Amino acid sequence: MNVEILTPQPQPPKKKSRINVQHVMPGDIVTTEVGFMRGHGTFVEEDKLIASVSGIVERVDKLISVRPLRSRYTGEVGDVVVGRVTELGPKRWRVELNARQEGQLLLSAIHLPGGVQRRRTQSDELHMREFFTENDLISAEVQAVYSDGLIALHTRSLKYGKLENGHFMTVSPALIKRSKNHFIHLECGIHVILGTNGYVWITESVPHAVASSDVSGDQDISAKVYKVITAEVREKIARVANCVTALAHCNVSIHADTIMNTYSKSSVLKTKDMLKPEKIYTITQYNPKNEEE
Amino acid sequence: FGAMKKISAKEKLFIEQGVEQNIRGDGRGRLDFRHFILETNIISQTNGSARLRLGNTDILVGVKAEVGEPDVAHPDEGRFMFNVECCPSATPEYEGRGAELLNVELARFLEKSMHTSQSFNLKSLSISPGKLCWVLYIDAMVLDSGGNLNDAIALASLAALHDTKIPSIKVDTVTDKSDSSEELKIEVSDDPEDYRRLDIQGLPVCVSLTKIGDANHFVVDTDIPEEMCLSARISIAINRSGKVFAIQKGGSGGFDGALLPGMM
Repeated sequence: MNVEILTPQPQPPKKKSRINVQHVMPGDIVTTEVGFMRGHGTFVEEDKLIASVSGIVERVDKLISVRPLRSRYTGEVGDVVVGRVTELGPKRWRVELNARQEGQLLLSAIHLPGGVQRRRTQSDELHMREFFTENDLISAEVQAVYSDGLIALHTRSLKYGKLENGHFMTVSPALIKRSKNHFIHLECGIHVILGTNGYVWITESVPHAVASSDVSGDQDISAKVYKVITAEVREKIARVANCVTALAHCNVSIHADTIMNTYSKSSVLKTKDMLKPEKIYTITQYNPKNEEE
Repeated sequence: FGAMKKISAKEKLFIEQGVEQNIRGDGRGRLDFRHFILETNIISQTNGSARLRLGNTDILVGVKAEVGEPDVAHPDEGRFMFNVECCPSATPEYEGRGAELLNVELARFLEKSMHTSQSFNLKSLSISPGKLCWVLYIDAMVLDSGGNLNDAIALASLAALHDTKIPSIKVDTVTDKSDSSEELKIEVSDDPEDYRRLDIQGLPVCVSLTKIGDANHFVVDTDIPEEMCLSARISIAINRSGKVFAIQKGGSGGFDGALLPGMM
């Protein structure tokens, strides 16, 4: 066993901030100038605009708001999320999304096997458990967000659905920004789903299921052949998982580039050594090419 | 984040297969511990303290030494009093009275492993045989749970005891002339430099071995998803000379008794 006596905790290298970033705490004065519209995270007191959350000030023309550094996931239409089914209800599933409320997946919003478009019958409702049962992990898209905050999901495409045969982990939702592609295929043969709600799914890349016309009528979504993951692939999945953990630990935003960057930097280390405090900062250093003074 | 501990059948299968292939979620082998950070002497109001961070598990232990009465059965020995509290803020399961049973179980295990005269010279804690002794209150707090609480609490407690400073004490016998009764007057030294350490050479560490899956594979240092797949677990407190002090079995499954010697 390797024992080291560390004096102060290894600190992340200080980055020079390139843009003038204004960070405020609750109660700080954001601005005393008049003529600004106040956005989220601020309130007015005696002609002064004061921050109500801890975060970064964002100015868009005349609108000033404070974006909190860490907050619960709030759904937006079109977000790709990963969730866990918590209960089954009449014609719907309740899905836990790491948000303020549980999400909802209606029976009418899922993709039926065979790609067939039909009305859901009584029989469908009685066989809901065959689609998704309690504690299953699913990937879905946010269809709508109601005024009370309830998030409605749908899995109307083949790329969404039940998640099996992979590694699940949780990071802070603030680290996963909305982008065009949340289904990432890494060059090493690993497929990563970055849920906007902070839930991440890592599995082996398989040749993408072709259009529904190829799927025969009696094949079920859940009857995919359960492929046993080999040791080599499992090692890669663990390495990618450690990359995500390392990025989350160092507060670096998580997307395809940062994951691949960390993955290649970590190739000199053994997978299980990646998360050691002295190594974790060296492997997550990310320098995008357009970062010049 | 406040999510209740849940796992699907397929995730469980994935973890079990990983254990069989000797590659766990973060790349560790079955017998690999996570990296941990141990700090001592962090709470100034205690006689000894330690904080252990093992993955997400965060344990804080404080040791306070107070003068008290010895146990009637062992008049010339001091005492340990173990207390474990799982903070309600650690996980939703610990809210309210959820952690009560767990606290008792953890404290009892600590007591069995460390509070014996075979591992520690309790006589060294005696001040005046039959009348006064040092009582060490060892309070452990689970600030965050990332799995493997038994091992972490035992290790942090050991570190806190190692860090403990017992102040020097002077004992005087004062005779009360009126009824010729004897009273003990004790003077505890105020000098921060005037102390002695405890001899913890014989105290054990704890290793928990968990059975995951059907084949006879055991893992050490489980994290939360792995703990949701376990069928049985055995925690062994063992010291450097190989003496076993406590064995505690958890989990509802069983395992072959023949495997025990191999695990130890």
